[in-house]
Amino acid sequence: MKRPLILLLLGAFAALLLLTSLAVGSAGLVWPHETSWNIERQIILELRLPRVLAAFAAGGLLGLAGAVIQVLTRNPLADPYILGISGGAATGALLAILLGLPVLMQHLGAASGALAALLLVIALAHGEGAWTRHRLLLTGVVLAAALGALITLLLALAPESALRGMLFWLMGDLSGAPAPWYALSGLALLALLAMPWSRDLNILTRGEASALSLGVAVRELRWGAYLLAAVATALAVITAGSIGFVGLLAPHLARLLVGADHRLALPGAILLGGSLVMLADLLARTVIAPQQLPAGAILALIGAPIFLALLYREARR
Amino acid sequence: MLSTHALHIRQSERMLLRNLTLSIHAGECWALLGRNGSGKTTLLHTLAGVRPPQQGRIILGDRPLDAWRGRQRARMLGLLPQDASEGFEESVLEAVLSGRHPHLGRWGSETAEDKRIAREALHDCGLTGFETRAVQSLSGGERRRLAIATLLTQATPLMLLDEPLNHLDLQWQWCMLNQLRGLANDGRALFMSLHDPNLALRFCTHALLLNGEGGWQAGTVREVITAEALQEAYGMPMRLLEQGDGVWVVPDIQPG
Amino acid sequence: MIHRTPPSWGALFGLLFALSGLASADPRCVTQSDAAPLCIEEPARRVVSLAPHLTEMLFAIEAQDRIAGVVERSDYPEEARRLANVGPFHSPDLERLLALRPDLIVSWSTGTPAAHIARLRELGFKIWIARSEHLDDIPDELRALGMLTGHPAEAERVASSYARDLQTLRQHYATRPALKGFYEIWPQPLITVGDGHFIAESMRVCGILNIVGATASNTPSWSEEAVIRAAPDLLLTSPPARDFERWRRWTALPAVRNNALFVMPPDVLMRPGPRLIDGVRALCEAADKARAGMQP
Repeated sequence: MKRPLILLLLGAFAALLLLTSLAVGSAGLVWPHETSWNIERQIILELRLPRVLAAFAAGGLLGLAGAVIQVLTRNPLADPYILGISGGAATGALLAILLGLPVLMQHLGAASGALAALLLVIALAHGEGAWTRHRLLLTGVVLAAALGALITLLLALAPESALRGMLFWLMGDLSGAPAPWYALSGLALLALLAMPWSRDLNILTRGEASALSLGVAVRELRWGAYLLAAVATALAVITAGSIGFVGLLAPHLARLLVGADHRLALPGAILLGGSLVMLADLLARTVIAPQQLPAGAILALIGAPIFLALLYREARR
Repeated sequence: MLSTHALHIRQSERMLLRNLTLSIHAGECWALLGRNGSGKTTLLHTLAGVRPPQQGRIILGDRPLDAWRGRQRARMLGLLPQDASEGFEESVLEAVLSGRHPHLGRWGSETAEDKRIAREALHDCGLTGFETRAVQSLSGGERRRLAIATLLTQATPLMLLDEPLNHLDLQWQWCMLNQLRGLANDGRALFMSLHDPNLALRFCTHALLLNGEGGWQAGTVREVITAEALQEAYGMPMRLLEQGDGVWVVPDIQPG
Repeated sequence: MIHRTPPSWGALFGLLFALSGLASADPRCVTQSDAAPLCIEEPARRVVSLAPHLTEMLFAIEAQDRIAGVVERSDYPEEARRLANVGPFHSPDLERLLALRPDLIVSWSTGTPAAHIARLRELGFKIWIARSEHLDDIPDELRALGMLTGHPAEAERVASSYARDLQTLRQHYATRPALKGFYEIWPQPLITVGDGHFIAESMRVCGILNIVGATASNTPSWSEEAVIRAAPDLLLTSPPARDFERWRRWTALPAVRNNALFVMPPDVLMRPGPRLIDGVRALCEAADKARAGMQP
């Protein structure tokens, strides 16, 4: 099949999932009935729509960030969470939960944690001496590890009442997603910023000398790509908690379906990431409804086997 | 087309090249010779603008090399790196089309003309019919020819090649060099590092010989490639044989 | 028992102690959550409480002078704060516990991790495990603690007073019109109580039907949508009541229309101790207010 056509199909799949997520809710309802139209309309517009859009935006952002990070590391199996941004966001959000602050503060906590982590990584990595590819990423990796320890500490200290909220946040949960418009417009903006550079990203995967000789401004592109991935990750994590796997899986699946050319792979990763999170959230809301599961756990349950299958396939080649 | 003035190149504390002054003109095919570690790759990277020089000036066309913007420069000057590492799972056609990158706008995509140029380059490198193959499935020699095809697709007036013959077997070494020489005859300038002085003698017009301690010799191949010069550069006795229309150098060592 | 080699002095002592207890003519035995009776010869003199509500029970039966140490958050009555602290209920500090040399440790089956109970038993401690799951567990547990600490008369008084009050409330509200209610434990994820939880039982006492019904876990995470669809007459929570006001945007909900969003007094409804009856009373008052606010 022609690759642009596959991309179109991915778009159609995402749209279909969005409509399904709007129509199907925890009460197993397929479409609102006439009798209580007002409350049904409110449920669809105020509960399901923001949640579905937040799911798509978070997944799309992580797909985009993952695709870019995989180019930066020249490793098709890298995950945007190695940037350390999500660890910062998690620390901020969990601290807010631990202190019993309202949900708005939890989102602000996540945002300021992400920003602090980003600034810290840049400050540490941008000391004296030349910028190197490994320094920025390694700083992020070490910071992520340190923040992971801090998160464990917060969990150990947390009272039982707060623990479940913290765990759901860490697994990724869309039940309290803030207004999705920030994440959606962020996604649109970042995608528009990234698309014109997709050919440059293709060339960057081949190494610095090749890229430079083909006229790619490697240093600027790397910084730009790093910032773009960091901002995308931060927005996603603020929206949906540290939902796992999608940043790793979506770009990889996209390359498998539409090829390695980022002009197709970037939109592919965005659509696939968005679809994966929407699907996971749909299942989380409905499988044992009205009881709820964390979407991140469902995503990992779907994602891990797919990912292992891909790895196995890769290893055999 | 490209000239250097009092160029110094240092790698850590070692002086690789002292005071290099050199001009490469259209129609010339230069061979860069010297033993391992003598600074061939470093020089090529410096000339390509991948690495800044410690001292001295490099002029590309009408202005200093660092005054060129990336994509403009990439339309003037192309580099074949020594080890072209391939990207994520690309097809051969996708890989070779990346040579058109500097010729395309931000939002532009490859036209039929770009594809024609790419296909022609694949044909010249014996890769016709490989278009849809994954790069990862190619052999070492095929990948090397793909890298050369990508450089041909970039279609720059000046081409810098770092050991273009790596991984190529005998018939492809001769075939590729023959084609590269043909490009020089058509008015391009080529500057390539080679291992075999005999190939340089056969296909190149000029040579730059590095002794690895900062010293260098430049000129036409027959001026530079002498038994004495090679002896100094490679640190072993050499003999020049003239036979028919060709000249050959061989190490003057008896085995055993 | 065989795997416990070499036997520690504490374990040996505990074994001897237990044997002597069995041999005595008048063994004092109480049941506990795993159905195995716990027997002691002498009333315990140094008790460590591993649950705030058990601490409250010990105070209520006037056995406070028998308490050697308490778990973190044992904050009622005020004197409990001054007692030796052995850390949080989910991971008590074993060293401190040992240093307190308790002759009885009281714990609860759903709070104290089983691994800790096993470890404490291995160390030779005598442990009583309360179930603390239902409203009717509380009088039994008060009486058991009375027996274990040598305060049976006080325990009987507190237990029967609790049972009597509960019975009065049950009778009083049995005939009131039933309300549909939802109890929010945590907003994000939305966590509530299933019918097996003592909070849901308390709601039943006051004539409030829990819209959640029976669930596998007593504290399931629930869908906001399902709450709205069930159209509860009142919404309940306890402090800190994070973002409880967000429900007010659902103006079509009966609970919102009738302004029936209630924040219960802290702790009393969340702890299965003697003060739970105060929580039930507050809950019933909220139900009364909701009924009064409802349009006919």
